[in-house]
Amino acid sequence: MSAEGERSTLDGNAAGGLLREVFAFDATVAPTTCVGCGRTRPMAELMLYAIELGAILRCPSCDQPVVRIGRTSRGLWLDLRGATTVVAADPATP
Amino acid sequence: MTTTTRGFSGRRRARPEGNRVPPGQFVTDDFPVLSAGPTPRTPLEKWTLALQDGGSLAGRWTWEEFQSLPQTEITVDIHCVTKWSKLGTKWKGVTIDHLIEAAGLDEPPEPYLMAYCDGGYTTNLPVEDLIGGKGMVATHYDGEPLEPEHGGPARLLVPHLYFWKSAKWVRRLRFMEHDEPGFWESLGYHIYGDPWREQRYDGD
Repeated sequence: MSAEGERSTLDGNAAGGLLREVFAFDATVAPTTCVGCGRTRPMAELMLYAIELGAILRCPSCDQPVVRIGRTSRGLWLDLRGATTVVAADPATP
Repeated sequence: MTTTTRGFSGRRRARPEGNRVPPGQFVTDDFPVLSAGPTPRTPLEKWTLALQDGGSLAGRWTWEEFQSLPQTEITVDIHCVTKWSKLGTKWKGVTIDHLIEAAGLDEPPEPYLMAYCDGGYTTNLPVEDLIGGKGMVATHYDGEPLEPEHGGPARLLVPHLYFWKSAKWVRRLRFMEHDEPGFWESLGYHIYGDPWREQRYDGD
């Protein structure tokens, strides 16, 4: 089968429900893995450096910026490239 | 030998005569400290500054070697994107022109540059905003060695752009073929950051 044939006919709107589930989580308790050292801890245990430009949450083990947020006139810019994964609580899981 | 030159000047723009404060800024006598992380304290004996052409090393200086390069003194106004401006600040350091010359390069090899710092901070600049006396690596402020809180032992100084471009704790300058966003530039801040055009955020 060609690559063209494998392409989904659905767009991101079809994932709306799932995206709402994923992004409605309490980030402070979400296990977050640092790209620098591989350690996993809830975001609440990262170190916060908040200044007017934005907020940087760094790994307490290796100082790697894990979560970066820029505060601008056009919204809050979230950059998670310092996190390999963020685990959102699944509302369906007790 | 250490030579001291004057006459370093930023990009000149048409603006009302005598107006030194860009739109939306207020003047402060303080020197606010904004850092996105802990203050690195690299011992001078371990400090080096590297100049890179893409992936290859074009020059590297120890602290002692850096001090022996031509030193330039400047007095300039600085403008932070958080809206404070500080007028008549005095700096000393090595201009990017002198660094390029000290590396044995006839001219900058690429049109853009990324500055890399202790603590992981980065910022991107067009090379034309660094040469011709427009940018330096500063080691002294107001006649004293630059304090760690303000970027010591050495910070980039590009006074005609918003001050986040004047990266603290600079350790490596890499020439690059294409412009790439640095630390704040990838978080919604303007790719260039001209205070006279109020280029604070992406899209300004």
